[in-house]
Amino acid sequence: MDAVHSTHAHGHSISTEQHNYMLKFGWWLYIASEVMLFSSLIAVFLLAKKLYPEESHHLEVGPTTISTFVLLTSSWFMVRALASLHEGNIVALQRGLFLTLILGATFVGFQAYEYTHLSHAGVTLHSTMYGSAFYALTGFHGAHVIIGLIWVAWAFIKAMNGHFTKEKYIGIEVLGLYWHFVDVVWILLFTLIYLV
Amino acid sequence: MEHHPEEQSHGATKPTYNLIFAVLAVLTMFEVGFAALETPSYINTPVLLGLAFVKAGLVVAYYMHLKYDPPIFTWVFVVPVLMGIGVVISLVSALTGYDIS
Repeated sequence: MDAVHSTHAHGHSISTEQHNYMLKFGWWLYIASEVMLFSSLIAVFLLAKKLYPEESHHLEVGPTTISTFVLLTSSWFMVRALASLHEGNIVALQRGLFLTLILGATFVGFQAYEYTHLSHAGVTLHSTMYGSAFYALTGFHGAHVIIGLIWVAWAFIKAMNGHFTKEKYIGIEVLGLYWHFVDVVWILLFTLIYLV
Repeated sequence: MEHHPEEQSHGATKPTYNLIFAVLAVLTMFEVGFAALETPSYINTPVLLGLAFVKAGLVVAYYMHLKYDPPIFTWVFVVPVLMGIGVVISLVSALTGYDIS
């Protein structure tokens, strides 16, 4: 992902800038497809919320507010990690990735707590359409966080081994795109599920 | 897309990222406080959704660097977002009233 020099099938070489541009463009196309996926899940959830308004009374806003802050903070550490890499500060990059990892894992822990609480309150995947839609939506988001955590852990190990440099930054940049998108989705879900 | 010469070519600077984080934290606290007021839904929903979109926009523009990247990246993101909003509104409106429970 951090090729300094790549070659087309026809033998034309491309510059690092072109490589990075195409890689980022590809990631934005992927994010576009994710937007449509989450839009469909949000539509189903809002419909379920209309049909079963009483089910949302089981949700706990307090712990979820804390977990929202945790995810927002993880995004802040991630973007600072990339900025540190651009400055050539590898130690700050490693620290940023490590803190992102810890906070992301904490968010997943909050989600596990919430699922346990809700299942004890009778809101399960099979209880009502609300339960199905809630777990599908938050579960898909949680799965994205877990995949992101695996990626962050992998990047952290590579950063510890000196893989990334001021010039070889694109791997961290596309990881940041993914992680921030997961944050953006949660910003919307927090409002739609817990606040309105 | 506005480009600021004082900022790095890779995006904003750390102080800008810190400021964005502070704004996101304050807006989140305001959101939670406003939701606790339990105002009528015709006030509550647009205010909270508006704040959520502002927060999401800040993350996309600064943390995901769309403010500094070529405009085509913004279009690749904004068009599906508008389509997604259309999907949500049309699906919820079309199916409300049917007994699908």
